[in-house]
Amino acid sequence: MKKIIYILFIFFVGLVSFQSISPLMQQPKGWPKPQYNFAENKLSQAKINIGRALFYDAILSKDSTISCASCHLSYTAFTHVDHALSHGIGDSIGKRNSPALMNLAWQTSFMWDGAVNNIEVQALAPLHDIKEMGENITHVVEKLNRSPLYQQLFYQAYKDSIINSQRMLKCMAQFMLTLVSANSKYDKVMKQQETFTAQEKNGYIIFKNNCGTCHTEPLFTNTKFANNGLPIDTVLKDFGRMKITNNAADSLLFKVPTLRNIEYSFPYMHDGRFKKLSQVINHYTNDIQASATLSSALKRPITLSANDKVDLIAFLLTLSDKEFVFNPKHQYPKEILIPTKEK
Amino acid sequence: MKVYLLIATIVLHFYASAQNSLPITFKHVVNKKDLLLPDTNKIILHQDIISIQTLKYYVSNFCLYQKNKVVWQEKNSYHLIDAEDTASLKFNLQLPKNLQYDAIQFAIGIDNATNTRGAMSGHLDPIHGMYWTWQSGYINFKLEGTNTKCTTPKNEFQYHIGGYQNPYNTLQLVQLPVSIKSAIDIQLDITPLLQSIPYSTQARVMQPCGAAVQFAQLLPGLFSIAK
Repeated sequence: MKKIIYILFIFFVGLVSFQSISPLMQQPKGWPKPQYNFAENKLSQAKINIGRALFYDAILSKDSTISCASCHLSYTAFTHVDHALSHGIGDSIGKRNSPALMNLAWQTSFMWDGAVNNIEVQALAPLHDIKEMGENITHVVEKLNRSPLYQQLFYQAYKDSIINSQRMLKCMAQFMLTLVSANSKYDKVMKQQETFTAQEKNGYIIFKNNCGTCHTEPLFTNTKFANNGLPIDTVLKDFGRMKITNNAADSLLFKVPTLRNIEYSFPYMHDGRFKKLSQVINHYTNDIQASATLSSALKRPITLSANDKVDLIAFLLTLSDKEFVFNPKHQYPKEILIPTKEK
Repeated sequence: MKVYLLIATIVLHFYASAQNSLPITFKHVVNKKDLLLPDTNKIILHQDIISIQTLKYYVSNFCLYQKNKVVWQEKNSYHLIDAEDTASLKFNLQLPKNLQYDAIQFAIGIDNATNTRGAMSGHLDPIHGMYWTWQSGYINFKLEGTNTKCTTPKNEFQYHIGGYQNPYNTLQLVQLPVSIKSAIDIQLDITPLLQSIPYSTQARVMQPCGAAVQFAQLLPGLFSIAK
């Protein structure tokens, strides 16, 4: 009898995992399968909690002033609102705009230039960057091993007292992977729960005709790299993906960012040069700089009337997911980092 | 229950005794002398006065061949060799008893698949300083030191050789003929490497690039079975 129950249980678990990534993370309807291999890092609430605590804890930085959330704020789709370039320890300024974080399980590479090949090793980059957190992983692991709070959190998650970089990084990945934005007005319209206004509808058509090649639905990015015709900033001299591949064909190519929650994630572009969506659209209609590596999708000029531009912006605002940006599960974990004494 | 445990113990015992431990030891040589780190001795090669501070590298995917066929492969085969850490220079391969082989093969560095697998532990833990953080990927081979020929501050040279993607894949294979013995000593003689490095023009290689590939291609020829 016990065996039958066991087999039924396995079958049931199999069914559930077929429909969702994990009881802790749903696969949005109509989306492709995630790129991340969840079998190698099974989600657990205790591990997500560790990841969330670490995300908000300045213990990751050399002088305990900077956490991931310093430049990735939940209320602005996990980017650094109003900062073209973010500042790290000692007010150092980096050279790129902090990317918005969402739907990362569907990405195969990270950073504007794809320097990072797996979300589990993503945190190592800002952690070691002298202009961001200026720390090193060896020291951070030592600090975590000395912390009664993390000793307790890791014990709860793993049932032993080992805290190493692998566990730390996999927990951080778990928190970041669960940042899924799939409940904007656009999504509700696709599920036929809501309808677009006439303006949004026209904007959607304009979007599909002019922007959809790179910002492909439903993720609103094809997760590839492209040169979108921006003139190079002569101070930053940032050639993008070429730095990683050493290949001239990758000169000025940057990751195609998602347009989801674009209302919150200003300023725009890899160096945050545009503050307003209208500036972004005007760049695509008027200011494309031709070069050998310009995206083939931009070789044909994009012509939009003033009304078209307004309608396009109206559509882009339907990609705002308030539930995502105001989700308390994504915010500072007061209950973990500042535990109140039991009464 | 106790009976099962007893049987399991006996089976395990026989299984274990059917294995042979083959000790592998890495030895480092420069200018016909053992290279022992930390080393204060200066190496004099032609007109160069060289001092080595760091020699660290990965050897991985150990396998044994018999008549050009793989007869044994080590599972989870990743070993970090650090010339400064004598414990890292020795490890055992667990072989089935009476295995016949005539060659040993290993890779210098970490393969493509492992480079993209995310956060790893043990010898692959990034705390060992053999992982690039600004760009994902393992440093396969690290050589640091000084040479009077370098025009850099303090005459320092730093070679962090890595890169797992074409055209800058730096993974190298080494295959060496061996006879069946109770232990295998593998020798790395860095003298030819120190003689062929273009110090004056390239005192640093610290990213995947053509120079890293050229450097890596020199490595397999430097390994031999110590007599």
